[in-house]
Amino acid sequence: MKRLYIAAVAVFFTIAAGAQTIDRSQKPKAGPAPVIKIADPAKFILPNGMTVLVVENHKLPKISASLGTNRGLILEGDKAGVLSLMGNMLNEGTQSLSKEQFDEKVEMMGATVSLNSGGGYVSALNRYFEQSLLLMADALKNPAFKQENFEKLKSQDITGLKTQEKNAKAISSRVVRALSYGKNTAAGEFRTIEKTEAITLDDVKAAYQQYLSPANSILTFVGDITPAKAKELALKAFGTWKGKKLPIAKDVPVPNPAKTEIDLIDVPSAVQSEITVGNLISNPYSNPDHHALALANHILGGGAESKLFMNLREKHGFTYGSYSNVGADRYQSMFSAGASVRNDKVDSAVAEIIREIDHMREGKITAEELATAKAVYNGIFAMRMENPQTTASYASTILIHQLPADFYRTYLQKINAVTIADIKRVAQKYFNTDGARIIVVGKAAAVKPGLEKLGYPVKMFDAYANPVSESATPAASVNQNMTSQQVIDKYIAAIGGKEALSKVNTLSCDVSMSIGGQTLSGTMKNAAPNKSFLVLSTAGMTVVKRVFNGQKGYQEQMGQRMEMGPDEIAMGTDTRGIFPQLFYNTEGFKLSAPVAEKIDGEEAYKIVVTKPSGNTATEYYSANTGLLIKEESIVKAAGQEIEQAMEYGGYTAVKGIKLPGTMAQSVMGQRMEFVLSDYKINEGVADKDFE
Amino acid sequence: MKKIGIGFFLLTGMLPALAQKVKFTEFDLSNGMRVVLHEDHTAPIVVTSVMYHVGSKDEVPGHTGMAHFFEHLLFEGSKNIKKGEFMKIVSQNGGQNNANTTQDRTYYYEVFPSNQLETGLWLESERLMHPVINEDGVKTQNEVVKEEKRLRIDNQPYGNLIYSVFSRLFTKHPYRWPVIGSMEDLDNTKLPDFLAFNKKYYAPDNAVLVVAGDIDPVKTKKLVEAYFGPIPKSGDIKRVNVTEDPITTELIDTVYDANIQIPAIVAAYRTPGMKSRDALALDMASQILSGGASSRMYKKMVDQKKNALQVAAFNYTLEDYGAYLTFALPNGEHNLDSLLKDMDEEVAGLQTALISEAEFTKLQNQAENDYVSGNNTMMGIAESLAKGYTFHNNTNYLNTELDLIKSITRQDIQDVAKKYLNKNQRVVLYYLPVRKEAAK
Repeated sequence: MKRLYIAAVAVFFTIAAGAQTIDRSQKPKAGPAPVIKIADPAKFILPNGMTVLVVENHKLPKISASLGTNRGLILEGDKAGVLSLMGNMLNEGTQSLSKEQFDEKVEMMGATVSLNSGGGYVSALNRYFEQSLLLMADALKNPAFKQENFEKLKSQDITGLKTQEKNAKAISSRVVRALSYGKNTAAGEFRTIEKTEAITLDDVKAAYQQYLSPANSILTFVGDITPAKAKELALKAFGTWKGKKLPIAKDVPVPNPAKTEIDLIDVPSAVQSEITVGNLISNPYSNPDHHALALANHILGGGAESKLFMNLREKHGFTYGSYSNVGADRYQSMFSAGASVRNDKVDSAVAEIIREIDHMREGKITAEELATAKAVYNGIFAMRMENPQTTASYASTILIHQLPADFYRTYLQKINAVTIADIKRVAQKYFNTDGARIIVVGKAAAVKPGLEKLGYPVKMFDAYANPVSESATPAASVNQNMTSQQVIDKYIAAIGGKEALSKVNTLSCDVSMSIGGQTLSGTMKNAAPNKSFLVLSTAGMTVVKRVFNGQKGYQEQMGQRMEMGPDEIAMGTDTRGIFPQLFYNTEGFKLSAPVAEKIDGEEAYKIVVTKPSGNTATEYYSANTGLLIKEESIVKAAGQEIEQAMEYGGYTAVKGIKLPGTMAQSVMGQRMEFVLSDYKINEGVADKDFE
Repeated sequence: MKKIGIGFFLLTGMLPALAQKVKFTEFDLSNGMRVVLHEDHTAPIVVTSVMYHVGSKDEVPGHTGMAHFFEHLLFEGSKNIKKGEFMKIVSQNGGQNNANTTQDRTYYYEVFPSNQLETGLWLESERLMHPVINEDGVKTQNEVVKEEKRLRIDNQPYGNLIYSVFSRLFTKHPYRWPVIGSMEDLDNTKLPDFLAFNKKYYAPDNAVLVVAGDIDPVKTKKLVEAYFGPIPKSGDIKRVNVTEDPITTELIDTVYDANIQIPAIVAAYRTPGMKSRDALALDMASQILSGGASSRMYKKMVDQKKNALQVAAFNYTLEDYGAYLTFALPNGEHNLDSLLKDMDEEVAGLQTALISEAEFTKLQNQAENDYVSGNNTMMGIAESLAKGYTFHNNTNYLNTELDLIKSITRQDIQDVAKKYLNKNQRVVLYYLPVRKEAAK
C-alpha cells in the first residue's frame, strides 16, 4: 500500500512537472530583463605602460586584437588632417616589407591586418594569429614612410576634399561642429585643401612621434586565447616599443548661444537643405541621466517609429527621414535633430522639428512610446552582445571613461527603470530650444525669406563657418528694367542669333563623366521638335539609357527597362525644338518678370518658365554674357517629386553656335559633372535613334 | 631548406580541425517533433526557429510555387494572433524575424532578447497549431507573392538563369520548376489546396524546432512541451523519390532575357545531392576555378585575357541532386564561344592534373575560415543544427563538416571533375538579351 502510494505520488509529480500551464490566448509575459553577463576581461600592464585586456572566448579557433590610444581630443591646428594621413601611411609597408609584400603575406593566411593613427586591428585563425600580430606590430613600429606613398595618399585626400566642395551634406557636417564648438577648437576644426597641401612627410613623422605611445595604448585580445598566452604575444610584439606618457587634453566647455539663432550657409547649387537643430551638452557615460537621455533620444528621433520620422516623413512628406542624436563623451558632446528637406519646405520643417522637441520638453510622451523605445534598446543591446568585439569595446570604454565595472552589466536594468517623468526631465535639461543653433545649409535665396519669418535672428556664414555680410546693392551689370523677352533675346543673340538657331534640326554630342575613379561615357542626341536620346556606359556595360521619341519613351538602368510614365512624357513633350527659348512667350510658354540673383558669384536674371503642360522651371541667364547658366526643375518620378538643378558652363562655338562644354547636375544631395564634346549639328542623327 | 619547406606544408595539411564543437541536446516530443536545444550564454538572446522538411520539390505540377506561397500565409495570423499582429509583436518586443523557402525546406525564425523566449515559442507554436488560413489571406498573399516574383525573378537581370538551367538538367525530378512557381499556378492554387498542404506537411513530425542561445534547457524543455506537445502528428509524411536518367549527350539551347543587355554563357552539369562526399569535393573544385582574384578562371579570363567581365563556377547543392555551373559574361564584343572554350579548358585542367600543393593549402585555409566564420552567431548555429537534422538525419553534422572537408584530397578533386564534369553530361545555355524584333 505504502509502495503504491509512493508510486502514485511519483507519477503525479512527474505529470505536474511536465504539464506547465500556459495561456495561449495572449502573448506570454516577458521574463525579467536578462542580466547581461559580461565577464571582466583579464587586465595587465606591460613594463612599457601598455594596458592589455583579454576577452577569452573559446567558441571559435580565431583570435583578434585591436590596439587603440587613449589620448583624448587633439588640436591639429594648421596641420588638420595630419593624423589621418599618418594612420593611412602605416598601411603602406614597413622598413623590411613593401606594401605589396605585406598585403600578400596577410592574404596567404586568410587574415586581416589594418592600421590607423591610434593603432590597428588584426584577426586570424589561431595558427596564423602570432604571425599576423607580428605583422601588425611591424607596421606600427617600423613604418616605411616613403615619400612616393605619402604623395599618393595626400593627392587622394585632396581629390576627396575637392569632390566634397559643393556637397551640402559634407558642408553641413563641417559647419555644424565648427559653429557649435568654434572652428579653432579640437572638436570644431576641420581639414581643408590648403591645409592638406601644406602637410609634409616630416609632419607625418612628427605626428607619429607625438601621438603614439605604448604608455597610453590599450591592446585588446578577443577570442581563443588565454591571458598567459596573450601576455607572451603582447611582449613579443610590443615589448620593445618605448614612449612616454601622452598628455590628455582637459574639457573646456563652450557655451551655447544665449538665444536660439539660425545660422544659414549659402550653397547656391543645393536643391535640398540640410537642417540641424542642436545644442552642446555634457553627457559623460557616468552621467546619471545617461540612460533616460538615450531613451528620450529614441522617442524623439531614434527610428522609423519615432516622433520626428512620423511627423516629417509620414505626416508631412518633407523628407525621406528625420532623426536625432545624443552624443556621449568625457568631452562636451552634441544633441542634434535634423533632416534633408527640399528648399520650399525648409521653414516648415524647422518649425516641426522644434515642435517635436518641445513636445518632449512638455512631457507629451505615451506609455507605448516609452515601452517600444525600451524594447528596441533591450533587443539591440542583447543582439550586439553576440559579437565578442562588443565585449572588448565595452571593456575599453569602461577603462577610458573610468566607469564602474558593472556599467554595461546593469545597463538594461537602468534603461528599463526609466519613467515618463524622467524623459520629460532630461528633455528639459538637455534638449535646449531656447539656446539652440538652427543650422541650415542650402540655397539662401530660396530658404532665407521663410526662415526669417520664424522669429529667430538669421546669421549668414560661408561653407567654412566664417561670418559673411551681404551686399545689398546689385552689381552694375544688372539692368533692373529688363523684360523677360529682352533677357531671352539677349541669350539667343549671345549663342548665335535667331536665324542660325532656327536652322538647327538635330544636335548630338559625346558625354563623359568620372565618378569614383570610373569613367562613364556616352552620347546625347536631340532632334526637333522634342526627340531625345542619352546613353552612358562604362567598361562595355550600359549604365543608363534614356530614349524619348516625341510620344513615348523608356529608361534602362543596369539592364532594367522602365517605360516612361505620364509625368515623364509630359516633361518630354514640353520641349520645342533644339533651342526652346525661340518659342518662349509663345506656344504656351509663359515667363515671369526677371529677378536679379547671384549664382556662384555671378549676377544673373532669374526667370520662371511655365511650360505648356503647366510644369515650371527656373532659369538663370548671366547678366554679363547673356548665357544660360543654370536651370532648376522639379522632376516627378515614381510618385515622388525631386528637385534637380543643372548648371551650364564652358560655352564654345560650334559652326557659329555657342554650346555648353560642361553640365553639372545636382539631385538628391549628389552632384555629377559631365563634359560635353564633339558636337555635331544636323548630322549623324536619324529618327531610328529615338526608337 | 627545401626539405623544411615541404615538411611544413605536410604538417599544415594534416593539422586536425581544432574548431570547438557546438554542444546541444535533442529529444523528440510524443508527436514526433524533433527539438534541439543549444545553450550559449554569450549574449542574452534566444533564437526560436522551425525548419519544416517541405519545399518546392513536394509540390505537384499545376500548383508550383505553393510551398513558398504557404510560407507567406503563415504570417497572416493564428487563432490567438490577429491579422497583421505577428510582425508587430516581434518588433515591439525587441525582436527580429523572417522566413524563407527553398526546393527542400521551409525555415521560420525569430531572434529575441532571452527574456522573450516564451514569446518566440508561442509565436512558432501558434503558426503550427492553428494558423488562420482563409480566402482573405490567400487573396492578400497572392498579390504579395506575385509582386515578389516580378521584383525578384521576372524583372531581375539573369533572374531566370538558374531556373533555365534546372528545367533542362532535370526532366522528372521536381527540381525542374522554380521555387517561386508560375503566375498561372499561383492563381490556380486555391484555399482547399492550401488547407490540404498544411495538413500534409505542417506537422510536428515533419519539423525540427531549434532553440538556441541564453536558455535554461530544463525550463525550456518544459515550455516546449507545453507549447508544442498538444499539436497532433501527421504520421504520414511521404518524401519525393524520383531518380533521373543519366545525361549522355550534350544539350545546347538558347534562352532570352528581356532584362539584360550583356549575354551570358552557362555550362551546367548534374551532380549528386548534399549527402554525397563528392558534393564537398565539387565545392572545392569550384573554389579553385573562381574563388577570389587569384583563382584559375578569374585570373585567366578577367585579369589576363580580359574577355570576361565576370566569371563564376559554383556547385548548387540540393538534397537529392545538385547542379555544377560554370558561367561567364563577356567583356565588350568577345563572343560567347571563346568564353566557353576558356572555361572548358580550366575544367579540363582539373581533370588532367592534380591541383598544386600550394593551391590545396590555400583551399583548406579558405574552407576553414569560411567554416569558422559561418558558425559564429546563434542564427547561423540554429540553422546549421536544423539542416543537419533535416537533411543528414544527424543534428551533429556541423561538428563533423570541417573534418569531412579536410578529408578531401587533391585526388578526390580530380576524381569528381572526371566523373561529373564531362561535356556529354551537360547543358550549355546561350543566355541572350531579347532582340528588338523578338521584343515586339
